Amino acid sequence: MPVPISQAYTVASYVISQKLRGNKHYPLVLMLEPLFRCNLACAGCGKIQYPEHILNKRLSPQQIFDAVEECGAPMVSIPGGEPLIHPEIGEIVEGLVARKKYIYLCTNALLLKKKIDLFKPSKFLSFSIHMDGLKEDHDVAVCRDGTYDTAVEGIKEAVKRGFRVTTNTTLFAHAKPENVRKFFDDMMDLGVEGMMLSPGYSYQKAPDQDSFLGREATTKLFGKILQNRKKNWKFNLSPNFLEFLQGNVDYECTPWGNPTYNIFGWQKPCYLLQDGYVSTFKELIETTEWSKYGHKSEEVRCKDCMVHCGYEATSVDDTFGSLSGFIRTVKGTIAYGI
Amino acid sequence: MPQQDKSHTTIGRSDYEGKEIIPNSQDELKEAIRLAFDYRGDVTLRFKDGGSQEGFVYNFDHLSRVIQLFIKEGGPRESVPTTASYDQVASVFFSGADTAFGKSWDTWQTKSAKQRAEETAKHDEKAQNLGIL
Repeated sequence: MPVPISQAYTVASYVISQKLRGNKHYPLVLMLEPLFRCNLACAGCGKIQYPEHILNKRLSPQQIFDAVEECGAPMVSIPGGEPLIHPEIGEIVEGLVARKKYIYLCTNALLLKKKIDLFKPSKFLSFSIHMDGLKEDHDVAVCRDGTYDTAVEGIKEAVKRGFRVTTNTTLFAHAKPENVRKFFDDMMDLGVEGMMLSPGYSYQKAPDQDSFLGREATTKLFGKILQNRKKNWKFNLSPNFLEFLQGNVDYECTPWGNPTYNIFGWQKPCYLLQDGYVSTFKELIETTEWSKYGHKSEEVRCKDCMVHCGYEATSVDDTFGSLSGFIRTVKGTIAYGI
Repeated sequence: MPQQDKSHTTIGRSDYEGKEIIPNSQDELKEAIRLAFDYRGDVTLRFKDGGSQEGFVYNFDHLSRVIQLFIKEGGPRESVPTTASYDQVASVFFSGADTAFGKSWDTWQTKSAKQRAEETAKHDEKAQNLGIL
């Protein structure tokens, strides 16, 4: 099982308690961006395109702990920028573990071997390694030769030391299903706990529209990738989300499911769109006009989005929201070995 | 293509770099402030009293008519948060480089192998100097 039972239990009991309270707008995963500075310069990545004085900013451990407490989500994902650059990342992770939060520390792993002594293996901590495919695909994707090999070395070291290790992979229109399937084999051979997948997000004004996946193209691609899947493939995703990616179930976005906090504050409305910031999580939930967003809304930026930060929370909510959702989850859990 | 899911829009920014918008109405003022918020570089807000502030606009609110920005202070690479009122603003000058311009995947693909290698080497050198690689 790619997710520890304690994590599955924590998440399940959390979601059920939220539903019993009638709280519709509950967060599932806090997306915590402690900095925007990165040691890669991937073409097309907009997260690091800021003036130097902004790239030099860091959230302090206390700011992070306050945000985590305020949000209350049982899981915390730490993307960036590259979080291993943060000089206090060890203290941050230690503090989150002490708060019994399940952490996904998202990293390109370039600094993993160098910084790994800052961390202790824990059921609460998983390194989520950015891997966009096989060596040739990944190195092209991150615009730097040798990055795949370094990441693999980092994965091996982390696995050897007893850390939980997952991978996160974004797929675009040019992805070749046979390559992705080979990539899954390679990752499982490395001993990763599970793999996260998501289609890339299609910004309306982005220049390379040919590479972005529309909904139909997404479901076709993921259908090909996941057909006759191998038993040893483990995914760190809800089985319902994998069904959604293949077009077997239709969901609406849950933008409040993965709220984003960074040096600017709480980002409205989601991890992908920047429509402004507020200073408290309460304000984010209460003042965002949620009906303006999602696939069925009038918002063009949401039309083709099937990204996990919007739909994984929907998938999990579906599990506990209806008998059909629960049955779908049980079937998926068996089918995907999740 | 990595992390396009995180990508802010990266075209058209050069249309604004170096330009100044002098709004003639409240609607034009709101649009200028929205563009400043969308811009991935520093802007200079020029005020009606003759003063100005240069920084990165990270938030705005049309209702409270407040702009939030980080202005350079405490050193060339540091900045602090501050606010400005819509009512103060006489013009918005896109004074800093648009850091998103030319960073698209599309642009990257048009470059020669040599150009790509040079850019990567330059970035690696900078990252190494910062001690982050």
